[in-house]
Formats: sequence, structure tokens, C-alpha cells
Amino acid sequence: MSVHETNFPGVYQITDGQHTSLATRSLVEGQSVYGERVITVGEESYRLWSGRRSKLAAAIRNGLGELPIRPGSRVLYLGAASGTTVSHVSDIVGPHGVVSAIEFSPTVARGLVRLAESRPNIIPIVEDARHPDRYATLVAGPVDVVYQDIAQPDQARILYENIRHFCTIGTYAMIAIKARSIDSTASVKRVFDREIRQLMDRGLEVVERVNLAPLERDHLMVSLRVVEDV
Amino acid sequence: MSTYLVPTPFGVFVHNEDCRILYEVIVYPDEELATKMMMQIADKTLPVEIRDAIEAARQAGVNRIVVESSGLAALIRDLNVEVMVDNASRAIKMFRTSIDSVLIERGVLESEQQTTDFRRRVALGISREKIMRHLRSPDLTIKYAVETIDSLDKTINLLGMRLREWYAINVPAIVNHVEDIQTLVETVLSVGTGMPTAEHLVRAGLPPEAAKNIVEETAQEVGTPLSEEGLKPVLAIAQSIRTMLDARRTIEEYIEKSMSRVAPNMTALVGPLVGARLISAAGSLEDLAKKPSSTIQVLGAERALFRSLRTGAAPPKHGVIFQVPLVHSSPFWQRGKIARALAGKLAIAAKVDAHSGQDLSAALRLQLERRIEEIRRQNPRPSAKGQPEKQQQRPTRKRGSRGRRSRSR
Ligand SMILES: C[S@@+](CC[C@H](N)C(=O)[O-])C[C@H]1O[C@@H](n2cnc3c(N)ncnc32)[C@H](O)[C@@H]1O
Repeated sequence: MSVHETNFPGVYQITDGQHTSLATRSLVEGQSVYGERVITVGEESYRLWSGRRSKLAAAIRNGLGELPIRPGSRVLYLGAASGTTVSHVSDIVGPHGVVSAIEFSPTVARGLVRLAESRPNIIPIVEDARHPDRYATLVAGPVDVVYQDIAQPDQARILYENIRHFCTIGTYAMIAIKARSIDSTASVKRVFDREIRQLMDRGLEVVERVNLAPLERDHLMVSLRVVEDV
Repeated sequence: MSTYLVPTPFGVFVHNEDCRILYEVIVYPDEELATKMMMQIADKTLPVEIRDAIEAARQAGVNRIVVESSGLAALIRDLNVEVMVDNASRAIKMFRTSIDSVLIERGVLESEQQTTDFRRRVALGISREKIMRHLRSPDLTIKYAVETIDSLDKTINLLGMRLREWYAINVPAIVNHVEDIQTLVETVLSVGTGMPTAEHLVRAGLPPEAAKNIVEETAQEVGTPLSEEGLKPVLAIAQSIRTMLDARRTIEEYIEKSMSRVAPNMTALVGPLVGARLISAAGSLEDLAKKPSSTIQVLGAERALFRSLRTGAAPPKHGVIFQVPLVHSSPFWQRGKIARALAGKLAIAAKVDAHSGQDLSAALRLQLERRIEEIRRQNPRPSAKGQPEKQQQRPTRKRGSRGRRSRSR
């Protein structure tokens, strides 16, 4: 078995025979958050990060060119659910970064709260991402990256509202777009284009787009950067 | 020059255009106090810290305050200052993103780590409180109860079919004549291997006259008596259906009790079960109260609604509220209008239930009855273009006339 860091600081690749898997170095030694395998090498433990469980891992597997989430980043995470991906983002940003994680379903957020109890860099916020003014002062600012995975028909607008509240020129945004949650009839490609266009019209520039198939069907990860004053 | 008010977990700040702090009420490092203050804001009650900060500003001659959120503005409306909401205020945004380092520079906070840690502990406190309230809220258990009733009904119908099929070997005719599943279950359990008599049927819940008729009519048709061994599985099925019917009753009683406490006005209009279904379809009473009556009218018919959007078919005229006898037993040409009238009253009832908790049920019922009389008077027969509509949404429990009869009131 061998572990080496990928081109993205904080993201590792673990090779075991012919199996390779992504992993993050666990901020909390030996902790398995959602049943993922934990591998200990020397002093460090690594948590396997499967593209089937996390769209961000799927994007990396499918050739994402640049990962704006790095050690030390301040991340605003919209649609945290029970914290599966959040836990890996928390590993990556490490002790000098912080993840403000928004999830509006109290039932789902239970897992997130449990996670935040064990990790000093997660700020759990049970609120609707449509109303950033309600949680503005709980978010640790200024935000370097907004990550959004909420599967809502108005997700582009929600992302922009948050960017307007927390970001400035140079901020990155990553958005997982699910074609079917926006419009069940329009063709997948048209839906993607329409969502992205809305963001471009508001001063964001597309950095790259990565299709998440076959790990996630009809999903696209789009990485953008704020290039105009917001 | 504008003056701004920003409440944060560290305290409440009043600052100017250049983000210079004019007044402040610091709550750091009291984590409990900070959590309480932020929670009060979320609950739309005025924390004393905000009152104090505004009072200080007002005494120094400030008469206009800008805030970022309308919720916050509503809180300080009565404090003798003019309040403006600027949802995109640059000054506030700048203040928010720089306050951590300002407080560190001033020595109020020691380090970035400490800042994040305090924020996190306050956020955790707020989140825990919100989750706890949600889990304790009666809406949630009402929703679970309704969903469980639906699952039970499906299972009861399914097993009921199995029971009929199997027991029919024994007594084919009776099985076909006893419509109500509960009566069938009780008959099976009391008869055992022999042939059912009228007494058995009466004991199982049928009126004597009907029982006698069935036994007479079915005397000719003879089945193959099941052996004691062969009857065992049949009795087991009947037993489990009986248990499920009992559970269903318990849950229904629970819904009735909770609904009369949580949503008396809605309950008065559509009964506890349909009212509970509406809450469950909307997610919560709070969510239902936010919906316009046009949405309430078709709530629960989402599939039909999306189909109509996709294919251009006629939109559904009613969703869950079709289960109200007032709607489904009215002639088809009045149904849509009645559904609309009922949805209108429901929208009011839901708002009253969610916000004031007053009991306006008598008035609401009366208004509804008047409106329905009017509809009936104005539409005595189908209009020329009126077509019998295709039934868009069958009440979920109506499948198969031999199933348990609907009990919703
Ligand atoms: C696809 S899941 C996210 C999965 C998560 N990102 C992960 O990979 O672990 C979407 C989540 O977004 C939440 N959500 C949807 N709309 C939201 C909103 N307006 N505000 C906050 N959360 C929202 C849902 O409750 C759900 O938990």
C-alpha cells in the first residue's frame, strides 16, 4: 500500500494492489465519519474518499484541473446535508481553514452537528441558503470559496445571493448542477448552459466544467471565479 | 452619513460608512449569552443588547439606522429610530468581513483560532436548539403519523387481498360478500375451520339483517373446508391484519388529538386526517401557512401538476382536499369551484393556526357553507362546455372497492 499527495494539496491517492482511491488526511485521528475506510500509515490516518459518495471526489476523479479548496481556505458550503463531503473539505482546509456549512433540514443537520462537535474548523448553520442575511454574521468571513450542492431549481440565484453577501473579486465558486432538479423536460445540456449563463451575466467567469458521469448521472461540476465587483 | 447596526456572536455593533465602531455592546466571551442573543433574533424577539446599542446611538443624536435583513428591521421598528433595510450594503459587508481582525487588533480576541472557536460554539448552540425544537414539534410527528397510516393502508389492502384469496378456498361466497376487511378478519378469526353462521357475522360487526341475507344467499355455494393445519397460515394473516388495524386506530386517535391542539381551524374545515395530510404534504404547518390558496388546492397532486406542465394536459383541480366528502361527493361541475372555495378558507385557517392559534373555526365554517350554497345555487346543472373531468387524483385509499372503506371525515 502506498500513499502520495496528488497535485491538490491535502488530497491524497492511496494505491493498494491495482486499487487506487482518493483520500484526505483525517483532521481527527482514526475517525470514520460515515462508514468510510480509514487507513493508518505511520502517525497519520487517511479517510478514503469515494466518488460514489461525494460529487467533489467524483469531479477530482474525472479530471478537475484546479481545486480552489486548499489548506487554510475559508469555505462557505451550501447544502451540507449530514456532512459527508463537508468532512473531507474540513480535512483539506485543515486547522488553519474553516468551513461554514449551511443545511436547512434539521433532521439531516443532526449528522452535521455531530461532525462539528468533533472538528474545530466546522461552523454548522441550520438555515435556508436562500436567505444569507439570516446567517451572515455566523459565517466566518471573508470567504475564499463557495461550494454549492443543493439540487434546487433556483440554485444559480441562491449561489449568487451568497456570493453577493460574502465574496469579492477573486473568490471561487463550485457548483454541482443536477439537470433534472431544475427542469425535467429541457435537454440536459441546455439546462447546464442556462444555469451557467445566469452566473456569467452576474460577473462570474467559468474556470472549468467537469461532467460527473458515470459516478453521478446528469450532474456537472462547474468551477467559477468572481471577476467583477459584486 | 449613514449609521449601521450589525449583531454578531461577539456583540452588537453600531458603525459608520467607514466601518468605524461608534457604539458596541460586547457579549464575548459569554458563550451562553451570545447564543441566546442570536437565537432571539432568529425568533423575532428583541434582545436587550440591541435595544441598548440603539439607545446609545439615539442619545448621541443618531435618528436613522441601516440594517442588512428585514427580520432585524422588524425587531427595532418600535425603538424611535428610522430603520432602513439594505440587503446589499457594502458598508455592512465590509464590516462583517473585517470585524474578526478588528477585534483581534484591539485585543478583545486573542487569535483567529479563538475567533473561529467562539463562532463555532455559538453556531453549535443555535443548531442544537433548532434541531431539538424541530424534533419536538408536533408537525413532525403528525407528518410521520400520516405517512405511517398510508403505509399501513397499503399493507392492509395487500394482505387483505391475500386473506380473501386464501380463505375463499374454505367459503368462497362469504369472502365475496363481506366487503369490509375488518369484518372479514373478525369472521375468519371467530369461525376457524367450520362454516360461518349469521351469528359469526354479527359478532364480526355486520348488522343482523345483512348477516342473515349473506348466509342465505351463500348457502348453496360450498367450498372445500380447510384442515386445521391448513388454516394456521390463514389465521396468522388475519391476526396480523387485526394488529395493523389496531395500530391504525391508535395512530388515527393520535392525529385527532394533535390536530385539534395544533391546527383547530384547519381541522374544523377538513377533519383531522385531511388536515394532517395537508401539513405533511407542505412539510410543516409553518410552510403550509405560507402557501397561497391556489397551491393548497392542488397540494398532494404534484404528479398530476407536473404532468400537466409537461404535456399541456388540464391542470389538476384538487389534490389532497379531494378526500373531503364536500368536494368528492359534489357533482363534477361544482367540484372545481367548491375545491377553490375550500382552499381559500384553508389558507386562512392555516395562517391562523400557525401564527395566532385563535379559534375562528365557527366563523370559517359558516363562511364556507354560505359560499357553497351560493355555488350550488348558481350552478344547478353542468354548463354546456362542462365535461365530466377525468379524476386526477384518487384518494390514496380508494383503490379496490373491497379494501377498507375510507374513514376520513
Ligand atoms: C445533494 S444533498 C448534498 C450532499 C452533500 N453535499 C454531500 O456531498 O455530502 C443536498 C442538500 O441540500 C439541502 N438543501 C436543499 N435546499 C437547501 C437550501 N435552500 N438551503 C440549505 N440547504 C438546502 C438538502 O436538505 C440536502 O441535504
